[in-house]
Amino acid sequence: MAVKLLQNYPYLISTLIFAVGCYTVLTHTNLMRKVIGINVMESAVFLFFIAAGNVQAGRPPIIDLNNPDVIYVNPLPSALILTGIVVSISVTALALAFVVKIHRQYGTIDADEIAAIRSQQDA
Amino acid sequence: MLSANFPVLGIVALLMTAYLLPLVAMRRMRLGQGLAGLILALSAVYSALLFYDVLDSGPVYYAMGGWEAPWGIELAITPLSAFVMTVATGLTALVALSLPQELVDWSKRKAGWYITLLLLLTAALLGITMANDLFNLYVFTEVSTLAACALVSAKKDRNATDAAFKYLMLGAIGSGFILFAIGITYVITGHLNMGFAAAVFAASDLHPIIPWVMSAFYLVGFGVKAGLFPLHVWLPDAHSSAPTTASALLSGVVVKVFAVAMARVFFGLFGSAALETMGIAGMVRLMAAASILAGSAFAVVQTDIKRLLAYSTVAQVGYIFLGFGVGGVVGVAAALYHVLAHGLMKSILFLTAGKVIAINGTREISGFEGMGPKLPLPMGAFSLAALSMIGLPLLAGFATKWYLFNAGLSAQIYWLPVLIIISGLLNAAYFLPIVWKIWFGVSEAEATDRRVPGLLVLVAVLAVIGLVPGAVLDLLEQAAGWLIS
Repeated sequence: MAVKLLQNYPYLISTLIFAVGCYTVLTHTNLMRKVIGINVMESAVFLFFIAAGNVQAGRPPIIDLNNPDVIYVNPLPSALILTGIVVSISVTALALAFVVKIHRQYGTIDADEIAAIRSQQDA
Repeated sequence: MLSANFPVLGIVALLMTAYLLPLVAMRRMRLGQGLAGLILALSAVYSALLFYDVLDSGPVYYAMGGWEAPWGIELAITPLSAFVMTVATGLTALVALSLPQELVDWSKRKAGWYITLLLLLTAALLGITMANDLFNLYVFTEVSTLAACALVSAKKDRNATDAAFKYLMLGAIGSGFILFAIGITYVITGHLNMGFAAAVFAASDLHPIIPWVMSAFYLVGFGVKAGLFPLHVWLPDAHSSAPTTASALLSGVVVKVFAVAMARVFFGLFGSAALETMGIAGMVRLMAAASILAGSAFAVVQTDIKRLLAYSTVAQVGYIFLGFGVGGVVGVAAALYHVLAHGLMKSILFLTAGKVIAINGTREISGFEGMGPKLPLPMGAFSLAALSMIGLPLLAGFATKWYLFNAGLSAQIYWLPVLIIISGLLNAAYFLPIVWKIWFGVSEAEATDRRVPGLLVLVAVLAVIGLVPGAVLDLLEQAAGWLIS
């Protein structure tokens, strides 16, 4: 069990990074750090996909008709992750736009201070 | 028979007009709004045609760009997806009739982009419902989350910005979990197409913890997006600080589409027997029951009407998940019935509450005092929808509860009837005082604009499905059969 885990270390590492990212988003009060946490989390998923697509000693996936037995790397996960990166950039861009707007409207980008301001205005 | 490329037309038309409309709206505001209404109405007609077609001649599988599955991207229009599409686009079109009132004092530029977001959201919802390819499902999920976040932040109100940011962060965590689960599915099966993945998955001999981890990731991901307790923390803020039309759509349509997407992934990949033995169905039932109780309990203590309605959404989404969790044709059909019934009720409640908020300038519940005689029609509709939420007989909410009750008994889940009764009492505890205030309070305020366009249609459909739930349920049992088999 443990040996298998070590052999497949990219999966283990991507899971760890995913957890670190998730923890960052949920625990940090600085909004910028939350945005960074989201990026860490998504990068971990990308790493997982890329690791899954990799074949040891595999060649780039260009079909060579002369030697049909060559082992290729699976290109599909990489193609998916290109789309995934675009999605992640859009999320980051929108999140940063929100951070700028929040800074303009509240004068702070700390979640605790924002919560304090909100509870004051409600009272 | 419809033409071969018909299934994809709805998404394409919505996406294209979404980006063209701001140009039109910048020159002629009314024309832009009219076009948006027209295209949404057409997409509703398109969904209804698809629904009729698949009921008549079986499901349609459309290969994007002519690349057949498992290599290409496949759209699947089963009775289930066609039903959800019809509900989603129909409700969107009806809610969009209120757009001219919503956008009346917005700048032309901003109003144009608001319409863009609305159309993008609708296109993404259609995409989520039709996609039979997991990665495509993820991409459309992201499009809808981004559009929904932007809709929430459309108002200048700073609380709305904060709510939208919170929604975006939690939504992104949810998508991270969904994408990770899709990755695991792909690693195990080598397929992204749900049908092919399920076939390999069923034949594979896996350590039991692997499917369990996979389903947990899907559950967390879709649970966040659908506002399932305890992952609902973003929902009350986001749904209450959005503009009225956006609130009605987010609460009435968007969360349900994610609930149905999760059901499709779960039933499609694992099958109902495995869901039960792996304990996932039990977990979903538990979370649904917690949603129903906690959502209603939080709603009772709210003094802000939009927050109250948002917490009520958490509770009502619980019913939908409960139906899926109980499973069986009746349970799933009850969940689908509630997708329609709750969509209608919540749209009515948010739209009419928006009227009261506009008159009083405050979201406090005390604003409803004596509104009945001032706004007879909207307040009558509000009261009807509120009573239906409580579950009075002859109304749609009762039919859901009745079918869930039966499904629970036939699945031998004996706490379910008790839960439904408690939930009905809790609903009464927060809706009845408002209805009382509406008709027996006194108010000095003057109502100038009494119209809520499309309200009569919403009320009529709600009344019909409440009076003859059996006819609707027959259709839905067919749809449910497709999901389970």
